[in-house]
Amino acid sequence: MSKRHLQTPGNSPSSEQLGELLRTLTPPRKTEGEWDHLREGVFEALDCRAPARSSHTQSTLSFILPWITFIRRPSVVSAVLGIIVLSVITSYYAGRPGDIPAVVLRTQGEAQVLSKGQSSGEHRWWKQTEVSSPVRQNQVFQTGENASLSLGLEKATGLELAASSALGIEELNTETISLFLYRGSVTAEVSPRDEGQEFVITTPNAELRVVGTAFRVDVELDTEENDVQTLLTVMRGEVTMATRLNVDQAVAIKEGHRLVSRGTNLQRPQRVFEEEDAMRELRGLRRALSRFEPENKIPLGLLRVTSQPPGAEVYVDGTPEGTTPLALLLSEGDRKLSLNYLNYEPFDTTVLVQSDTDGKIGIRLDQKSAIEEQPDSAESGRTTVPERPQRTVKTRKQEEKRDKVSIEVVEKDPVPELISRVEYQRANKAKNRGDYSEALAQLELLLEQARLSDNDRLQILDEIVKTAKRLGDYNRAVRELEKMYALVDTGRKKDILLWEMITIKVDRLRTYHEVEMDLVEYMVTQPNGIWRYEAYQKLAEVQYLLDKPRAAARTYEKLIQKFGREEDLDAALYALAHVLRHDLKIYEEAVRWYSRLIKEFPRSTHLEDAVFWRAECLWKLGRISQANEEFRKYAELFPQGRWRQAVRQHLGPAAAQ
Amino acid sequence: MSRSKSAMPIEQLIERCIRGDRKCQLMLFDTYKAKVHGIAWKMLGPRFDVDDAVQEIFINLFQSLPTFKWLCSVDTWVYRLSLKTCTDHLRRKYRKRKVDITADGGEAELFAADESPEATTTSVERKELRQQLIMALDKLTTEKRQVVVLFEMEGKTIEEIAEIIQAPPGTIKSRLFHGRNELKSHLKRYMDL
Repeated sequence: MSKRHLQTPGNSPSSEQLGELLRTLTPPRKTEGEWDHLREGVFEALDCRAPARSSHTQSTLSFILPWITFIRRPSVVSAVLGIIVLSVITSYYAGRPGDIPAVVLRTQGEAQVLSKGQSSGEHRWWKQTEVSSPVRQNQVFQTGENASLSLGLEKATGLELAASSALGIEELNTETISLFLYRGSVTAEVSPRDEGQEFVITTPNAELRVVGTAFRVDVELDTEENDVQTLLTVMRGEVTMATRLNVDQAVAIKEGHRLVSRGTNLQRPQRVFEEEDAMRELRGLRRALSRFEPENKIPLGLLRVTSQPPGAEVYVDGTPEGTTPLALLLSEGDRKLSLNYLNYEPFDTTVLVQSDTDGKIGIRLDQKSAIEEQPDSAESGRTTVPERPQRTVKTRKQEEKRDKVSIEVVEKDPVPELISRVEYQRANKAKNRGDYSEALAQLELLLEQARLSDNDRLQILDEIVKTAKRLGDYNRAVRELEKMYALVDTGRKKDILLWEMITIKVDRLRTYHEVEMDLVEYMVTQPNGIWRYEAYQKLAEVQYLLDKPRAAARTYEKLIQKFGREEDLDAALYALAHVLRHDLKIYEEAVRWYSRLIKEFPRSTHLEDAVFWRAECLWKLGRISQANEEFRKYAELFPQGRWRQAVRQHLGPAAAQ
Repeated sequence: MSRSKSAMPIEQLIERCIRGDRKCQLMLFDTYKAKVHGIAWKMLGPRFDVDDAVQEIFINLFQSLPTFKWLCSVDTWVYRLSLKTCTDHLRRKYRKRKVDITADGGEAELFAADESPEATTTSVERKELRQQLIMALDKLTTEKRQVVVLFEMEGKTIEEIAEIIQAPPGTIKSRLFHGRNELKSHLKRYMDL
């Protein structure tokens, strides 16, 4: 054995033997074609990615650092240089166009914002967009399905981002408003631009310049064809559009026309008639913009409306504003709020909107009864509308608690109870700096405190589980999960917690005996659990690892019986046949399962192996002629197959060919 | 310091790669492809998409070339980067991973390599052994697996591993000791102890 083994303590012949065994494990060789493919993949991916910012930062630092060392020595020189730098910075900022106080005016449904970080190492996350929060340069907004978002950029200038869209704020100042529409649709209302002012929307393949107008832009991405299409519909005024490859050759589109830019080509402008969707969005945007007064620092109150079920139409003073969940800015005073939803009782209330408070209103709508009382319209000659319950909200003291509505008026910037606790904040800080032991200690302190709601307790336990995992203390993680399991009430949550415990025990603790019992319990307690298929699979695997091939085979059989229609059942069939052949040596049965796999899953990835091993089983059973027939079939089906050499050995070289 | 296949010194090659010289980047890829593929396969095993990991390792490598400070050899750095990416892969896919009791990890090559007529039984045994080796390695924690792979399979010394993993030699020895013991207990059937 080599010299280096002597350097390790506890080296022994058995270690050397182990080393020899391990060195027989070598990766499969790659052909030149495979390397070429891999190489292409790497460089293609590299070409698509932006250059790493860190290199730039590093080169900048390497340039600055020697200067700092130089300045430090003679104090006069450093003072002079300091003044120069200061004056340069001041003049730069003085010459810069001013910022504009743009804000989010309205959100409907899931709308998120991402603020691009300055350093490459900074973590960036999507956050929920808050109404009246400022809109800044380098932010990206995105909307989910059935969601929308209104942004007020300047007085009488704003835009509405439709559902499933993403928009980046590239530049936002008094001179230039530059936006990038990644996907989806945006409807914009732009006040006339002064000379030198620009409003530009760029899409993956086009650039639009606006003078003062109302329009809608749609970006349609065809990922299969690797194609992109930008549709511009002008509702008022004029917009110019050019492809990004040829920005100088812009085409002006007049009111009531549409222009399509497909890939790198501009098509001929077409006349369009009033678009219902676009006009509705424009009307909504105009309403939101009419309330937007940047100079007055928004003397508006925020109202959040949620309903159960979500998706109800919201009317404020009789004007449609969107669907729930909805957050919007409204001018101060009493506002009449109505909610309508198909097959549910309509709901009306009056809310007092105040600029210094955030109003939240949650409404549970009642389903209409199956047999509804019909108004006796024939008698009166017109339809009578039944009077709806009226509710007025003034302050927290006057808050009404009724069966249908829970209305809450909260102070701005509410601080949730748990977050405000010192221990929670300390735990977070410790976690952020990577001191998980300290974080765990703080969380434990917090947990010991009395007067914790079940939800808070669950949240703390969840944090403890995560922290314990980070510390590699999986036993602790399981114990805390058990506590959580006792606290939660819904079946779905219990299901998830139970499964998490099982996966930790299998993957980390490897307490297979315990897992076996847990899995059986899971199958009994969660007969409709979301992981039931995986539970059977895992149970069989655990039983196999516990050297219980017979039990594993039984579990596989049950799995196949219960989930006969699962798409990846071929894996279970193959595993069962494998256990029967390899461990139990019940070749007859193995042949049966291999045959079922071959018959039912002709496109399975296990097909080739199944054909070979079925033949092997027949050989072992002494059915030589049948086995040879199967081997021949294998050679026919998979002439370059992985078992060709073994097949040749069975049949002899001539027969195999 | 390792030399690339061409006569160009590695320092110059890296400098040119940073400047975006595609020819040099290809050269660097060719120099390290086998090493990176080998370590990725040994760390992840046949159940993972090793090519995917190799691709990610090279992308990380080219992107972080400008930040390479020459505090260690390029080889050590490549090993460190490869292990880090593989660990990330393992963590990311841990939940999705299934215990594949029938995995055979390219045993067909063993058959193909063995041309003797009486080889079938031996080959099947070897196939089984290979499968057991892979399974035993899979049962090790990532930290222990790293050390075992580097020491036993890549032929690195304790000091070299300590430099790659950036941990004290004592820690490496301890991981190796425990890793070996775990492997021995899983593979006792195949070892004539």
